[in-house]
Amino acid sequence: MPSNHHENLIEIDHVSFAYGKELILKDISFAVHRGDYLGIVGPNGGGKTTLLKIILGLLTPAAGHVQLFGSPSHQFKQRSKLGYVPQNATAVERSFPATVEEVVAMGRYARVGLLRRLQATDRTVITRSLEQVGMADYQQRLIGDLSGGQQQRVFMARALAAEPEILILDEPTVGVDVHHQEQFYELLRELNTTLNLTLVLVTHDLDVVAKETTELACINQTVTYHGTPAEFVNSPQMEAIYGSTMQRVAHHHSQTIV
Amino acid sequence: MTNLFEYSFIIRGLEAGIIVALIAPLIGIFLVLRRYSLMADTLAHTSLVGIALGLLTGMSPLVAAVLTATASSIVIERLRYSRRIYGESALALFLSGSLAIAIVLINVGNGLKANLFSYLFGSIVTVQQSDLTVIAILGIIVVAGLVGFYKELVYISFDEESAQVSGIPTRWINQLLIILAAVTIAIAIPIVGILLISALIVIPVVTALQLKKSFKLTLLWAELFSVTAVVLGIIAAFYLQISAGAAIILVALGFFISVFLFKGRS
Repeated sequence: MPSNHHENLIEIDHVSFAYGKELILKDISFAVHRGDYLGIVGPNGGGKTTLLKIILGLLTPAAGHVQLFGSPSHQFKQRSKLGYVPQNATAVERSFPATVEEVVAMGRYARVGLLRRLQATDRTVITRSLEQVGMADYQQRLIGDLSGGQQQRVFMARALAAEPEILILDEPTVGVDVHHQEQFYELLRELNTTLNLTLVLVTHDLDVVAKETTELACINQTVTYHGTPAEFVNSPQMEAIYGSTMQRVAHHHSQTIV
Repeated sequence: MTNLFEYSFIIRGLEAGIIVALIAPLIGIFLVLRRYSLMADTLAHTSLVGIALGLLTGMSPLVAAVLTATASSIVIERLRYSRRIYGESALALFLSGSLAIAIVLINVGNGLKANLFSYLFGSIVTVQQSDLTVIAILGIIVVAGLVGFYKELVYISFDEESAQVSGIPTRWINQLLIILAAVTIAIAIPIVGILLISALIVIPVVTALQLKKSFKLTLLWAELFSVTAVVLGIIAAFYLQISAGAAIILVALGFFISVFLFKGRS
């Protein structure tokens, strides 16, 4: 489904951010439209994660504004419209006593509200989310007993359980083997095309971005490129930023894009 | 053999003990999973300041302990949140600082020493009917708070960042947990004593975690270990003429060692 460029779900307007005296982001502006599949790439330390945290409301920009669904980020209350899939490696505690079902249920909590219990409809959404990611058979397994790829699917299901309109993913396939990575991106493609779910994917994996996404923003303190992935891989900016150490070199299995 | 239920102080001790045994794992599971076990020890030491103040001024030491532990918990959480010092350092400051203040207060009020001993090591014989009322009321408040915000506490313990992104007010729920921990610790003092409280909060939970169950079942097992340890500990203390606090912790430790060895073999 084509994206609707008239509806801005996320609008980043001249955003800057610094840790102490170190400038991380400088004058970042771009928008995410409904139906977009945006890849955010850039070198390590270029500010991708910081930008993501600003979008999510975890950090406040030093200058500039972020608008979510048309309202200023700090006033935005319908947080469940924003699904978040964190980096796998940092998120899971192997010994944490929670079943897959308990983890996915967390996705409903903010929607259900304080002091309220999950209802039958919430249970239905939880099961459906698990089915969407192909993990319905694992409901009663402990999260720590699953492989990295399976855990990542559970986190996807947790984000989907909130019935979001945008899904924001931070390096979702770090530590996931190649076969399961491909399955994972297939799932994302399907969510984007069949459900028209807007996706924002932060990754250092240029191959994935070139193959999967419809839009690309390259962040290295400033927005060094914003447009289609196809143009980016042929642009001088890519060579300038990634040079010869480009990520795709590591992927012997996949097709070369250039 | 004497029947221990003929003694009203044992009945009161058991009643207070069971209340404390029920709420300790509820607090403990969240503290343990968030790597916050040292918080229990720290709040116990800040309670000692309240005990000393209570003994000096004639105020109920139990109520004074609840007040100082709660006040400290608020300051500790603010310090941690400000990120000007490490969370762990904040705990160390309060742990040693409050012990120093308590010692000075004890020095000032000569003759507190004898009384103080029972607070350090616990003494169920000193539990008065009025204490039991305070323990029951505060126990109900702690349970209500934890049950009311159970699902948010679970989410924050598992993945605080995602919980915050999803719109859960993580900051004040964290604060609530620490305040309820402070209250729990203060009312546990008469049962196990300041020096052993963190063991009662931590050991049953750590034992239940070895069983590798869902969150709900882990909590239920922790409750079972905790209540059994307290009841058996108090009974053993009565017949063997030993300290109840120490007996409770030894039973809890016995459960842990058994479960740990059993799970290690299978």
